[in-house]
Amino acid sequence: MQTPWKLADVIDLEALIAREAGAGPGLKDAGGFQSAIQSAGSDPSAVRRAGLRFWLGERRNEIADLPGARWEGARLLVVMLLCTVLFLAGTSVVFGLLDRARGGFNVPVFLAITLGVQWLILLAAAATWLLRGRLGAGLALIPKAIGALIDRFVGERRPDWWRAMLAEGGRYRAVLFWPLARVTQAGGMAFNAGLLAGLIGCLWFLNVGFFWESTTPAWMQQRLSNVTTFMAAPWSWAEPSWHPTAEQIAATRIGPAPLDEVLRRADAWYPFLLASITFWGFLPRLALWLAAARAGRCALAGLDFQARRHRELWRSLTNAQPAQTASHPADGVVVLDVGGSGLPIDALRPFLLRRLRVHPVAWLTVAVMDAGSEAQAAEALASAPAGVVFLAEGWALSPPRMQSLHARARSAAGPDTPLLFLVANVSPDATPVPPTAEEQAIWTRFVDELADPAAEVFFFSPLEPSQD
Amino acid sequence: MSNEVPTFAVVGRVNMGKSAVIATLREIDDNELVRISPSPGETTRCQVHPVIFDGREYLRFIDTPGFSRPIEAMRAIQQIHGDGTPGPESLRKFLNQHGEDFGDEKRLLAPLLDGAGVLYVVDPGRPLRDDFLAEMEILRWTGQPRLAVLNRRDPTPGPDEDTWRTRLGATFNLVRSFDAHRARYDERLRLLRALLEIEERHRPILEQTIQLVERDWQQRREIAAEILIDFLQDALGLRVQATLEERDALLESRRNRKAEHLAQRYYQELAELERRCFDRLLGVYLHHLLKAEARGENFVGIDLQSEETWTKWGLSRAQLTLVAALTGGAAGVLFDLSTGGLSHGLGTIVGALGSGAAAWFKGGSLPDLRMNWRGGVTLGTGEGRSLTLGPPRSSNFPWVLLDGVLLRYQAILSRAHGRRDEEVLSAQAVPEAGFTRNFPSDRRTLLAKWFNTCLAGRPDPSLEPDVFGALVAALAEVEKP
Repeated sequence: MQTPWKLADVIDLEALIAREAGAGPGLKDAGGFQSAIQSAGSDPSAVRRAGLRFWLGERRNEIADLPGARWEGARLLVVMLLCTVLFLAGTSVVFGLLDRARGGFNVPVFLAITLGVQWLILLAAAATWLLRGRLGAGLALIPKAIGALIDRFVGERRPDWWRAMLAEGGRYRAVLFWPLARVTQAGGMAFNAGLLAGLIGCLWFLNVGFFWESTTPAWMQQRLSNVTTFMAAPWSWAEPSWHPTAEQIAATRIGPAPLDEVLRRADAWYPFLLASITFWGFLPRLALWLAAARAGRCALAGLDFQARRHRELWRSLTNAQPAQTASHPADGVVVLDVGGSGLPIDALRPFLLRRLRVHPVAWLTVAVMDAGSEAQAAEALASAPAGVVFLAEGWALSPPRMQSLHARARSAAGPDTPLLFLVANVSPDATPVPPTAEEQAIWTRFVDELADPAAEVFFFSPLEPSQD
Repeated sequence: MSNEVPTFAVVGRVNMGKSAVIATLREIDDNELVRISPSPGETTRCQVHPVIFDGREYLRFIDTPGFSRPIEAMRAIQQIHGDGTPGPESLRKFLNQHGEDFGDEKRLLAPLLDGAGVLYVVDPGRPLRDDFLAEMEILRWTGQPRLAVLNRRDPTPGPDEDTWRTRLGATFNLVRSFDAHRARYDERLRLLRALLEIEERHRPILEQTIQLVERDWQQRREIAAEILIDFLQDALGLRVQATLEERDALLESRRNRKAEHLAQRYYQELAELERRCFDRLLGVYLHHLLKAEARGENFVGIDLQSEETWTKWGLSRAQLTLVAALTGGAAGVLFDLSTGGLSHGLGTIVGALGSGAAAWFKGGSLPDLRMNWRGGVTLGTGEGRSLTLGPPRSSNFPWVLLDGVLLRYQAILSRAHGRRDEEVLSAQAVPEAGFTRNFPSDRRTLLAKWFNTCLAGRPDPSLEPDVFGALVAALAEVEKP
């Protein structure tokens, strides 16, 4: 059984996502996360809810100042203040309706003010609910007003989580709306409790009566009879005495009988009025409060956390991040064209690949007028794990220069990096040709004299057709 | 070599496409990382390609140099072993006794003797020569699990196709076809599953790897759907604006010129949005050689001014009418509810009929940008008017746009990473009918509802999760071969 989400949880989740820009830090207890989502079953929504719940728990342990608890505290404070104010308002209304000159309550006025106004408000709210699509701009004032309250109580200026939830619409807005509806209905219950307390107080501590008056008494009497019959329907079958009879109604009209006599006959009215406030004022509010509580729970239970920010977070929690191969092939060499033979890379690449089994990753010129290319060559050595190829023409061996180049390359590349000498001549049509036998002998002797076990000399020769 | 990580050496004769198989499997289209070219012998050393998730290595492929002298190597091994069938021990001796004369063979055999499984890549279009038989024999002697991969280069069957299959079937645990230049995600996954069939020792970790690969793909599809949502929101809400002095606004020729210039700007900005969308998609699917455009300034996007685009892509007239009637009717229902039923369903009827009729008469028309002139604009030189242009009036516009993106999404997924040619995602050609016509009607209705909010410039965020789900489903359909 999963712990149900509460509004404070959702607020904390949204606040964390807003604060940590979607992804958030990784999980501390990946194993716990896995078991949490596995125990949630196979429904993807349930799995996501369980996973996000686990993540929220982890984050809450690390971050203390999340707004969910403060929001809940502020809501309770608002409920208490509102209930107190409306309870007092209820009692005040009753005392306000007491006609002190006559020492009693005008029943139709009492019913109209205490219950009629409430029902008008409820009907207006129902109409607004039905027309909410058409009243979008006007209704936007409500969340704005609540936003101002949040600013006041939660202490954040325009919190991102609030905007995110409102912008989402649908269930997220419902999650915020139903607690608000519960607050208003709790206030409504307090107001009706105030009415009851006020009326009971008047009955206990004052000598009050009930009456009605009208310029059209017959019509009014009939209406009053109809209204009381309708209103007493919920209880008159069980307690008929709590429903004023036609005679009692007629007897409490001011006019034919003296006022004192009217007020003395008013016993039938107060049970009716107490029951009316209970059945038509308090209980509907209680029913609405329960409905709002249930709808709020359903809205919370129905959150699927499928908004983009939730998806991003979920992906960051559940998806193993693949790593791309970053290693380069280990056969890269720097080819240093000593003296600038001008042999094209394409002409020598197949020979390098198939005979030397190395791959030219850089092709640079050294021992030329351009000093910049020598600097480039030194830099390129770093990206050539398979070593350095000195490309030289057979006739052009200058031992001091080659020794110097070899020494520089060796010191830059380290003691074990292969240093290869590739010797070729250039034909008139700028293609490589093998060096002469004499040149090969000279180069072989030169490389042997370097006494470097990681140095080797190769002489260009055309590849056999099968190798090409 | 760690025995905990299943390792497979990709071996075969030079130029059989070993590196291309690895590149496609691992989605690497960078020639600096995996070298592929028509000339043989590009791979000279073994290169390890680990499959890593969350920093943990789950699987390892080793790209090896090809067999260069298999017959000679086979004879040398037999000579070392003497009578009977050589085994790993004889192969080890071969590695120790021989030098660079069998350099490539030594390099490719070393990982196999360390415990790697064999992925033997051959092109069944080539004639079956003795060289190949020698390779198969040497690989059999390693005693490792063996999978033969038929990487066909030429679509026409070769002379020895049947013999290839018979010989491979006799020597290898499993034979699978895998075109490294065309393989899509599902084929890559099939090859990974084949590894599972031949390598029992590492079944749990291989199963885990396959799950991770599948999840990774699902994640990419979801990111792609989000990219599509961003693009559609931006594109459908795109409007361009310009101001015109009052006296110029009175002259029709100047007004028309301004409108023409603005229309051009609208299409350029729309093309730029498309380009950005495809750049992001290419990034998600790790393509570097496939480009959204040849040069940024030349990208023109979907050709909305071509009649062919509007007839082949998007919804049919009947579908458009139905979708419009449904969404219009839904809006009418709200009106009827808001009147408490006093309108007797008139809102629903008028909404459905009006929207349906508009779609029927306007849906198939060529793009005609919405134009809005607004007066009372204060300019430095006096009174002026502002002109706002876009999006096209046709109710088919969002569907045409979506089809254009889906078709190119399909092109992105059809491109294997083993290819090394550069390619431009062409938006000009209209190769085939789009996908939106085959969408289920509830998806069409949902998207139409969301499109309407985007066209109005106020995308409904409460619809976004459902739209996301619908687009993920659509992308999964597009991915099917």
